[in-house]
This record gives sequence, C-alpha cells and structure tokens, in this order.
Amino acid sequence: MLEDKLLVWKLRRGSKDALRVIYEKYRDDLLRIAAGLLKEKSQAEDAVHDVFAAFVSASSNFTLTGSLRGYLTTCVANKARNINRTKLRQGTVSLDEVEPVVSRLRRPDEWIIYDEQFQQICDAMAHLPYEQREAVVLHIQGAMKFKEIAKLQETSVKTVLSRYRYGFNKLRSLLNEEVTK
Amino acid sequence: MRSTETIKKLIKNTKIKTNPKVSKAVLDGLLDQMDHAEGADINASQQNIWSIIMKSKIQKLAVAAIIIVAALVGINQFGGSIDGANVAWAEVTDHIAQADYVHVYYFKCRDNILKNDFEAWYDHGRMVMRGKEGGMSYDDGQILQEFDENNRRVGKGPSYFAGGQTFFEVFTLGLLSHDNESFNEQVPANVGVDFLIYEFDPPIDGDFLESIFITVGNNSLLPLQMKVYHKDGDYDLIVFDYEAPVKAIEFFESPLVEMPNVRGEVVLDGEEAIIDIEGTPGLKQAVVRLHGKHDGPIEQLPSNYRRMLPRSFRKQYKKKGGPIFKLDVYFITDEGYQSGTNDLLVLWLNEARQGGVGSENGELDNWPDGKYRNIKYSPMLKSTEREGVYVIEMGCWLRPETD
Repeated sequence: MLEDKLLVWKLRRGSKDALRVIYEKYRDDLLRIAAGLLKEKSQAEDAVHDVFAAFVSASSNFTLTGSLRGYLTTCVANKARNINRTKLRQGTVSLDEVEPVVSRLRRPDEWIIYDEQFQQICDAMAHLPYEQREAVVLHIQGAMKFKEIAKLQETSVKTVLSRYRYGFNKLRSLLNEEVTK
Repeated sequence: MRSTETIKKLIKNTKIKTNPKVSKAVLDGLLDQMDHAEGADINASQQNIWSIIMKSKIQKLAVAAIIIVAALVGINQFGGSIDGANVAWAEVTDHIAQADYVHVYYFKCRDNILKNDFEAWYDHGRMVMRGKEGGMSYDDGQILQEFDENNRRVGKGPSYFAGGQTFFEVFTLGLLSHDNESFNEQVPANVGVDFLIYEFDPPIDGDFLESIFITVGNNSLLPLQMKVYHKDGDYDLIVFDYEAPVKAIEFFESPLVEMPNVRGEVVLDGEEAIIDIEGTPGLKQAVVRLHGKHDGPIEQLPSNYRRMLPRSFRKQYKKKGGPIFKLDVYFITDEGYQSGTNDLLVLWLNEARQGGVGSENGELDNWPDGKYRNIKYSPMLKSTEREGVYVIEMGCWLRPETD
C-alpha cells in the first residue's frame, strides 16, 4: 500500500520507472480479471491496455485514495462493462442469451497466453450471466469485498451475494462437468 | 467431483502467461505516451496546468498542516545590508496584494532538461494563461473559459478569483495567503543587498520535496522567483515579472465562442438521445445518455465518482456543491462507425468540460477502415422548465493527427 502510494507519487512527477513497476506488478492480475469478465481474449487485452493508457493519461493529477490494485481492478471492471454495454447496443440479443463464442485462434500479437486450465475457467465463466460473472471474478480473482462490488454494481450487498452464489454454483458444476467428461 | 474450496483455489490461483514481446510493446507504448503527455496537449488544458503544476506540488503546502521552521541562517552571503533580516513574510504578502500587473513564466526541470511549461498574465483581476502547445485560458474575474490551439472552447467554469482571492493566493493555492499565520511570521533565511530569500521546509506529506526558496526584491518586497526543489534533483522554477510590457486590453478578451454543432434534449436516467451533428464533416450523430445526478454532501458522492474523479474535482465539488451529472457520449461517423464512449464525464450545469474518444475499442487509428479519428467534444448541460429534462449543447470536431 505504502509502496503503491510512493509509486503513484513518482508517476505523478513523470517517473518512467514507477510506471514500469506498476505495470509489471499489476499487469497479469488485471489481464486475468479482464479475461474472466470478457468473452473475447482480444477484448480483455484491449480493456487492460486501455486502463493502463487512461491511467498514464490521468497520472499527472491522479491521487490514490484507496489501494492501487482496487482502483485498477475497478477500472478494468468498468471498462469490461462498457465493452459489454457497447456490444449490447449493437445487437438485439442479450449477450447472456447467446452461446459464448470464444476464439481459439492464436494471433501473433496476442498478449495473454491461455493454458488449458485457464481456458477451461474462461470457457466456464463465459456461460455465466454478466452480473454473476462480475461478482465471481471480482471477488475471487480481484479480491474485492462484496460491499465494494455492490457499490460498483450499484446494488445491495445481498443482491451481490446472491449473484455470487448463483454464479459460483453454476461455475462449479460446469468445471466439475469438465472433469467428469 | 471437486469441492467448493478446490474450485475457488483453482480460479484464484490459476496463473496466466503473457507474451513477453507484446507486454514489452505495450509498456513501450505507455512510456511513449508519457513522453507525449509531457510535451503535449493543453487540451487537457488549463485545468491540468493547475493540477499538474500547482496542485500536485504547492497545494500540498497550502492544504497540509504545514510546519514552517523559520530558520534565520544569518549568513549575509551577498555581503550587503541586513536591514531585510526581519522582514516577515506578511509584509511581502501585503505588497503582493497591491500588484496589478504580473507576467509569470513557469518552467519545469525534469531529468536535467528545463522546459517552459506555461505563461500567465494577470492584469487588474483578469488572467490569461498560455500553454506550450498554444491552448489558452481566459479568466475575466467571473468566468473562466479554456480554448484549444484552434480557438475552440473546450472548457467553461467559474473564475479562479470567484472567492475574492488575490492573484498570488490563486497561483500558490494559499502559500502566500494573509491568513496563514505560520507563513506570515517567516523571516528571510538569506539577506542580500537586493534580495531576501525565504526558505520554506516541505510539508510533512510532501516527502518528495526537498525545499522551497522564494526570492523577494529587497526594495519592492515582491516575489521575483520561486524554486521548488524535489528530492530526486528535479525542480520547478517560477519567475514573476512585474515590469513586463503591458498587454493590450484585447489580449485579455476571449475569442468568440462557436455555436454548438450538437443541440438536443436528454432525459435524466432516460433513453439515449440521438442528435444529428451539423456542419462537421466526418461526424454524423452524437448519442448522449444522462445517467446519474448527485446533489448531496461530498461524503455521499457515489463510490464510482470518488474513485474516478481527481482530488481537484472533489475539492471543486466541496466548494461549489451540486448538482453534478454523469454523461455518456459516443459518436457515429459519416461512414456509420461507432466511437468509444467516455468512461466518466461529470458536469455541472452551464459549465463545459472537454472529452475525447477514439474508435470503439479505444484506439484512435483502429477504426474499421484503418483511418485515424480523434473525436474531441465539449458538452454543456442546461436545465429546462421540465423536471428531469435537460438541454445538451456540444461542440465536437475531429482533431487531426499530429506528429
């Protein structure tokens, strides 16, 4: 926490080393969270990239009030939601109503390299309705408290708990199905 | 069959690998972006000038519980009179309040490179600021307006002087305030024939600062130079010139504001409003959604506002109060492509702020046809007689690609 505050101070004053450290420190976690939230890998990569880019743009007057990890995680969650919302605007069918489409093509410029286990988790996540997926990912992978997720989703803690419970149970059954196949 | 805990661990602990080449490329891009930001764009404009230059440094001095150790070193290094040795800072601030015309130069030294950052001219309650990229701000004592390098208005808000502050109180955000007794009692650390030098210790939470020196004319008792040293060797240098040629009165007049090319009605927490854009080649429609209003105490500001908004904004909110509104804007180009949306654009009524978006995926040059499009816009929200219905007026344009 203290280290992050120091890094943000340095970044505000233009320290490239500070940016490097922040990037290395949080890149993988943010990519993992974005990959859990978004069905397409490229969108997850874009979301994290955009969050870092926006963070750099705002760094000169950015003030860290909570944890940097929490802040960046929230930014990724907002970005992911924005991407999903944009998709919803374009189509007439809810994303939650369609079967997930997960590209397995390897692009030369791909940032995240999925191993089999992670791919399995992402595939299972993609079956969850977005709000449930968000609750599961942010709580388990993002280490966010239910209260924080409730604020983010602008709903009650009770609703988030319910979303988490439904989502997690579905996820468990999907992952267990994989094992027994 | 795996247990709940096993599944949790699986989700929590599964690591991902990243392509090192792409990771490096992304980081390089971000570092480049830092360079670019360093030397660019006053469009983030004077708002940023204040935050970047002043608020991040000097504001710390002003807002923190500053402990000034008045260290009268007693060294007469200029070999002259010691008459100024007892001149308390309060006398300097008295003289500052009488200065009617000042030209200010602000330089930043980063990694041993000294660059001019902006200039400001203050004349009898009005102020003009010019950034290094040509953006300007005009403060007439009541309204502050910001313009980009093409004279498009990108921001509008209340004057920096709205609270009756002097130029220097605004400029140093309280450092030179009459009200600060600990400052007022400070005497010079060094005294020369021509200059008095005041040395201020950094505030407790300004641990990145080494020291602050303000050089004051011995006769005029006006600050001539302020130098803020950082611990890592960087510094900020501010020069105050009271004898600069006076700018003509027209210099302080803001350019004419173009008529907005987007105008329509939007309903709070209602449907998106699709508004045709007139007279802007390349842009066909703006899609606007007003999806949040806050009018309570700062402590009740929703968490997503608090997290995303800079401290300077929250200070403004504390001072001005609400209501504030959250706005989403995206654009449809002539070709039918949809832009991205801003993450969080917060507005007060009748005040304009600047936003910018690229393609749907956030990039400026990654549109379906591969062309570069950087859409800038400056929305202003006005109330109507109908509850929950607002008029949105907006200037928007495509900003050409720069080197």
